[in-house]
Amino acid sequence: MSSRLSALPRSLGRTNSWELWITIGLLLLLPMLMATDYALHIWTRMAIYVILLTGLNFINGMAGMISLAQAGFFGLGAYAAGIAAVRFDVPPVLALVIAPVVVTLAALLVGMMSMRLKEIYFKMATLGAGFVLFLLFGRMVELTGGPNGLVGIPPFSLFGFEFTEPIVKYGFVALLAIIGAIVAHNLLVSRTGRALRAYGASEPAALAAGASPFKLRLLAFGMSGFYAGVAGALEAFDSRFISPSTFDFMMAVLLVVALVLSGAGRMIGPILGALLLTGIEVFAADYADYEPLIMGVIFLIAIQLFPRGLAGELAARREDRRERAKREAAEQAKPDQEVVRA
Amino acid sequence: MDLFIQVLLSGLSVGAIYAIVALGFGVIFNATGAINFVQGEYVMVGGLSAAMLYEAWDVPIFVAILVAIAVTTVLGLLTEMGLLGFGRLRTPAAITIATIAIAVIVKGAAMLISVRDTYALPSVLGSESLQILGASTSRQTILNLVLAVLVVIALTLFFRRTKLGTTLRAAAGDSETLQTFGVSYRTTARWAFVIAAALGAVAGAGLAPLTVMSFDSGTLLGLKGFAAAMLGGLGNPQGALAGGLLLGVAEAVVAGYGTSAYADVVAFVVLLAILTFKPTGMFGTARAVRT
Amino acid sequence: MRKKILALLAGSALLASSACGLGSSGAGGGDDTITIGTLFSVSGAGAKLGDKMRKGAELAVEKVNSQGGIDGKKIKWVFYDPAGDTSTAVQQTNRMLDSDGVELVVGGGGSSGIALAMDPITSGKGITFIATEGARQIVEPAAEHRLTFKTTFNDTVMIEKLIEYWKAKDVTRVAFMPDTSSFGQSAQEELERLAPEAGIKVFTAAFDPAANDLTPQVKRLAGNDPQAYLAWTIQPSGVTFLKNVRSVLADRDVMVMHGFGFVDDRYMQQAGAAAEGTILVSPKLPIWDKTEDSDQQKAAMEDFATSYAEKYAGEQPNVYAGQAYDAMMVAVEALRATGGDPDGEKVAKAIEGLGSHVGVTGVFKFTPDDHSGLTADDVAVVQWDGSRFVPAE
Repeated sequence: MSSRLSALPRSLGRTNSWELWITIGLLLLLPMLMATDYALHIWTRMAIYVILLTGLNFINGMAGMISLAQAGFFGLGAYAAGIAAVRFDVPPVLALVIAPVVVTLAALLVGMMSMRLKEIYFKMATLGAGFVLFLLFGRMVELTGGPNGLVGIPPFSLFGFEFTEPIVKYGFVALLAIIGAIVAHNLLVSRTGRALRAYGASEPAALAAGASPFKLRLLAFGMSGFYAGVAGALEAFDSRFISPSTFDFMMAVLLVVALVLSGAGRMIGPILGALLLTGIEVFAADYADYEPLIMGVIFLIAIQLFPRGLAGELAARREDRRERAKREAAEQAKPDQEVVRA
Repeated sequence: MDLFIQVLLSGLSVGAIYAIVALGFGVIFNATGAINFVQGEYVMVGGLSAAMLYEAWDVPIFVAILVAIAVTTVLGLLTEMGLLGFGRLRTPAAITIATIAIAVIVKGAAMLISVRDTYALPSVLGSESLQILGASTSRQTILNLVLAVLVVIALTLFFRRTKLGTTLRAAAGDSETLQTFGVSYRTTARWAFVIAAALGAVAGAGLAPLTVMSFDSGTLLGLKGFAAAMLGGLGNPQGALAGGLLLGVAEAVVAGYGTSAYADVVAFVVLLAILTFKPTGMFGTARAVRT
Repeated sequence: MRKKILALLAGSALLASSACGLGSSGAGGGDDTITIGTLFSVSGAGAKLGDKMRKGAELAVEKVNSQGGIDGKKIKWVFYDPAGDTSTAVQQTNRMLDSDGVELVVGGGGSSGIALAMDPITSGKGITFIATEGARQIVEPAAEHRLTFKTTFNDTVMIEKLIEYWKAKDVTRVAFMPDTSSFGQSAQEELERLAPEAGIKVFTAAFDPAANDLTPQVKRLAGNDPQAYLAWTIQPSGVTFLKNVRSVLADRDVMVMHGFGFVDDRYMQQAGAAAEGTILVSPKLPIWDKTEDSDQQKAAMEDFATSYAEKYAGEQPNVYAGQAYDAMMVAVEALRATGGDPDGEKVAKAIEGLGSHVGVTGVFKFTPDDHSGLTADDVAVVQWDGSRFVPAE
């Protein structure tokens, strides 16, 4: 247990609003760097990843667990919205509401099933859930279009105005990403959010503080599902075509790795992770034959370099310096008193 | 009735492979507390390299299998070095994530080395099939079952009777306990990876005659082997055998009697169900799996 | 603190700039080049096929360029690997069109799902797309896919040929084993639609393409007394199918068959004795040397098969390599007809006006209503005689 604790960023208990501002700033500024159709397409994809990772952050970051179900939830959101729009002629706005509701319910179900499992077992339960979803996307042919994918998804539209222009599409997705980040931030500074992070940082402490681990874990799952549902629906309306391959095991792993590398549990994690994901996707495309090899090597090196994530590593170093300064100051003041850290 | 026997034989044939893969997961879990996602790739490397040696370089079949096991064992050592050699990964969760990166590397390298082609390895027992009670199976099935049982016996003895075995079993990734045994964490981890990789290679050599091997043969098999390990209780050799065979038969039952398109969903539904209702597995030793 | 924020911002900007592949690199076809873009999945589960397709297309590009190009313009070939993932493919297609200056797209990622996802993007940009994937929805209805073509057989064509063959052989009961991929599922749809009309009973049991044992399905179908077993897959489990059928039905005389996805000499050799006598529907390419001298495809097939084997160290081209080669050649012929103008509308008109293009996997007759171009006349029934494919009796 103690070894597990030491790997968590000690600054989990702190929320820096500058991280939120950077997230918002980047989402607003990036299209100014480059606004060709292709670049906007990439930015849109990145913004969808931001939403997805913000959701994952509730589980992976705040609650301190690793979930491999997020790709499956992402897919469930995409299929829920896509199927609603294609098979039942539901207007896109309504589909955008239906998708997160469906996924939240599914996530709560998985949350309840894995309710009391410890770390590794929990990870594998989420892997199983994600995989079952992935397989079902390919098998329920009448509904999902099967392995060929679901064709004919309309573009997103509001009051008859279709969101087909790349800049409009990006603006809409980025707006939702920003709202999502603000909501996440506000939730985290709330009492519940603090309890959640206390739970993630150390279960006994949270229990001692009177937090109900079941409620907290369900909350984390429900939130992650809601965000995945929104991200999935946006993906469906953005690509206007979805197929199971997008939501496979590899995607689940990539999401976790991107978040862990950039800083799980931090507000800035999702945007850094999203940049990392899109960056790698674009970069890897130039190396067709060696792509899997290169990706694997990069990930291994990155994990070895930043086992606590980029942001976590920086924060931990800062924390260390601060601790040392404090200790030195304390030692100077009261040389015979030992410093005890909770 | 014929169909039932056929389903049973098919399940045991594939289940024996799952069992050997599940054993590999157990060994590494016992030693490090982590889930080793490279386990499936060991099966692929074992089977693919044996088949490549045999088919492309005309190496005699027994030599090919032995060399393949050796190659995979070295890969096991390299895995351990890649994970723990830098001394930076300390938690089972971090190690588990890193094994995924290594699995991706191994698969990517195998794709290039095998030039994306498939390779076949015949059974050492010949290609004629066995007829049993109106059903039919490859002779390799019998060999695989025998292998699985032998491996379980060997591992059980190893864990109970040898010093290394008892430390490996007791360790469960807890470096503090290990220190009291006077053994370093790295030493036990290294042995665990060597054993797991060798087990993977044996599974690969047993699998290859049933189908053909490609760089893509390992990943899904690894996940199913993991489901089998969970079913029987992670880290318990007899449980792994039972879990593997049961999972194999469950899949075969769905393929034979149900909608066969859903056969591959079975493993993951089983995984979810077992984690929900009895996470220690059917034969799992009492272990704290819940908070 | 401020320093750190700056560093983070700088890092993000770096990532950001890499994220758009540093903007538009290719200005597109200048006066002396035509840029053709291709996606094939050379990694992931379909890597083996993707590799064959890439080789076929590569051979075509090299051949055209070494012979002086298209009206003096060389082909500049842009290639990406979507690894079987549609969303990656969508992104790469956008990149080809917006940033690499691709003027014509040949090859749809090696899976029907990807080709279906690419079609709205290429069409939206007014670019001609010649797919090398099977699903007929890629080009049907032709009125809605004016700029999209494909050089593959519709499953309908293959199934019609099969039914014709079964009728000639008095086969009325068929055990059908498609895999659960899109390849197997589209064939299942067609067979279950067409066979009853022809008075043929079909019993279906699908299987997971990653399966290692198919004896339960084989045994179950045996209860229906089928005269023929037909598998439909491109994955190695097709080898398992052959072994399992021979083993479970050792005492029965059944016709063992595979679809065109399994016309691959490596797979057949690896199934060993179990493959002997397997009957497959296929383009004529694998039996090109056994065709009549009067066959109009013979010269093209011979040229392709020999130059392919020469370029790739004796490797035999399979159907997929042939389809990719044909797709590239159709593009080239159409571009020659437009005088090197890659305008989507003009190229599409030119393809429809090619008359009959003699390719290596068939004689293509594209019309405004038919963007597939191949008919049952282009399909042969072949048999594996233990060492090579020969025409089936």
